Amino acid sequence: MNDKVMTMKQAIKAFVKPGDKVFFAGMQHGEPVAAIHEIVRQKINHLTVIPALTLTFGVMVGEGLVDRLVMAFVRDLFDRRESYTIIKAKRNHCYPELEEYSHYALCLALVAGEMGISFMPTKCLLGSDIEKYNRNIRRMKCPFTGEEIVAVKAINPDVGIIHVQRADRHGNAQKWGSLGMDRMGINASKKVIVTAEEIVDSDVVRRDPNRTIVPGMRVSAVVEEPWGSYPTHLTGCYDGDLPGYLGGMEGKGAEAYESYMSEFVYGVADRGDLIRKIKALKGDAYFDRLRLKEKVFSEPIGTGILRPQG
Amino acid sequence: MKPIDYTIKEQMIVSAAREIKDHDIIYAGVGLPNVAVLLAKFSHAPNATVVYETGIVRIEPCILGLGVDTLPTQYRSDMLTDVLYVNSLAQRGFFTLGFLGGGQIDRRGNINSTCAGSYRSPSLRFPGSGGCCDIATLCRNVIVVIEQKKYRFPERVDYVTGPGYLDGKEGSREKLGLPPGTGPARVVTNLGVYSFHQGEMVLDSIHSGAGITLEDIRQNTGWEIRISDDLKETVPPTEEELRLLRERVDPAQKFIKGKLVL
Repeated sequence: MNDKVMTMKQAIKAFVKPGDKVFFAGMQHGEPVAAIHEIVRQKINHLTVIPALTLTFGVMVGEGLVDRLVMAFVRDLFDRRESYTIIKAKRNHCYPELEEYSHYALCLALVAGEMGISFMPTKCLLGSDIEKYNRNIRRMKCPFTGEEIVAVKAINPDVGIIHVQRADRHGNAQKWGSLGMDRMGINASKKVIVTAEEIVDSDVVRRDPNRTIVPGMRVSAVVEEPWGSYPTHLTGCYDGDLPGYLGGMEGKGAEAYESYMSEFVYGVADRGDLIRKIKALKGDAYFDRLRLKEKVFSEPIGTGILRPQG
Repeated sequence: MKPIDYTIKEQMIVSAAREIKDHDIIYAGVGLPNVAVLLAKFSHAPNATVVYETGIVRIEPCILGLGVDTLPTQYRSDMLTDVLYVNSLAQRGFFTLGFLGGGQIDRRGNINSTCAGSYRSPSLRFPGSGGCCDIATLCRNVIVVIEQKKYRFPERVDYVTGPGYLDGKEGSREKLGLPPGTGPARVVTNLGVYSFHQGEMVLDSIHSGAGITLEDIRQNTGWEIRISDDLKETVPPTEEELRLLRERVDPAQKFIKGKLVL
């Protein structure tokens, strides 16, 4: 099998193109933040973004890279938060078009994409105005029961990006903890970029293969990126610091936003550089405090085969 | 007996917690609903199962975080899964209770988490449905926990994110194909507790112990609110409820004292 390991810069450059539909995995858990910042640095624009309740992708909207948002919930949109990502996008006439779903409906669109079928039926959305403003949601009668149901059109992102705890060099990616829309969104995507806290030997994967969320044959690039989800949490690895991240920026206007961007996004070469910079500012103890120290382990699962007798 | 000091927020949490029964299977949102669930689990509902939208199913009470998905809400859960699994449970009718916040709620229990004004150029934009529509369409016994202000209680929401009883006509939900028995059951606010009768919100009790009057309710409701024939004063938090809330549920007072997070 191919070795797909590359740097974040190479992976984003090779597999995210202007105009692409991009899915971000990480529904409040293990967001691919390092990848998001690299897309911003490379200024890849005219994107359609499908966030699985990803709290940290707003900077892409602020930087004018997003033409369309395919979404169920975007924290920054709430006017009372006065998120500068939205204010800046409006000011620069690049506020994205919105295509709205509920969590379940968006997830079902990705399930249909994953399955290679044109839509999924559901009872959620009946009676909601969501369907009035989204032409990818239609009514139909169930051919078996005659019941009124909603059809949600399949979504197949051009590229899906996920951050995981571990992956091997071929792209077999293992994530645990809550999984949000990760499995559906990533598997519905045409190209897949895996970023991982740690690249491990394939033997580690093969001793616990149930944990694999996408197999290597579906993956285009593997990036080793410690702290790749910071400032969101990643189960088994570290806690997040969303208050520290949002608190410094949200609702604090142009100056706080622009200084964050120039210091911590444009002002660093990559994630390693960012971590060094934050350590220099906040001290080594900052990341030590976030790192999980007392891990809890369950019994290992057993697999194996019978050896031929004799 | 010496009167007990408590805040409106504590009354709101306690009132919401009292809606939970032991063995309930609960779809819970962020903020106060989560606090109410935890209080119920420490008091009268230790066997309730709590489910969070990102794919968390758990029996053990957990330390409160500011979000739904945190290391503590994941840690020692009974199952970690995904949005598909959790909402498919809802669609099959397995939840006995759904907790919901929202931007606005109207006379008919319709919830708006999308926008006020016109959709194309809203006067106020909310973050979007998230799980609101899923819970509102698929869960039985939906409890809406919301801060009551006039702009949050319009006669008719501009955008129905999560359907309540729609136009209020009998069978309006069922006619659309929504599962029978679903829909909002109660609304708990900082002013009172409401239920629904013939598809219309009805005031059941006022938080009088915290100084709230019927006038406060009227001033913060965008229509002539219907009042129950059996209008009550909300039973104030008991000493035991307050002790559990302050000592075990929220010892850091993140929610009791913090800004209302709904």
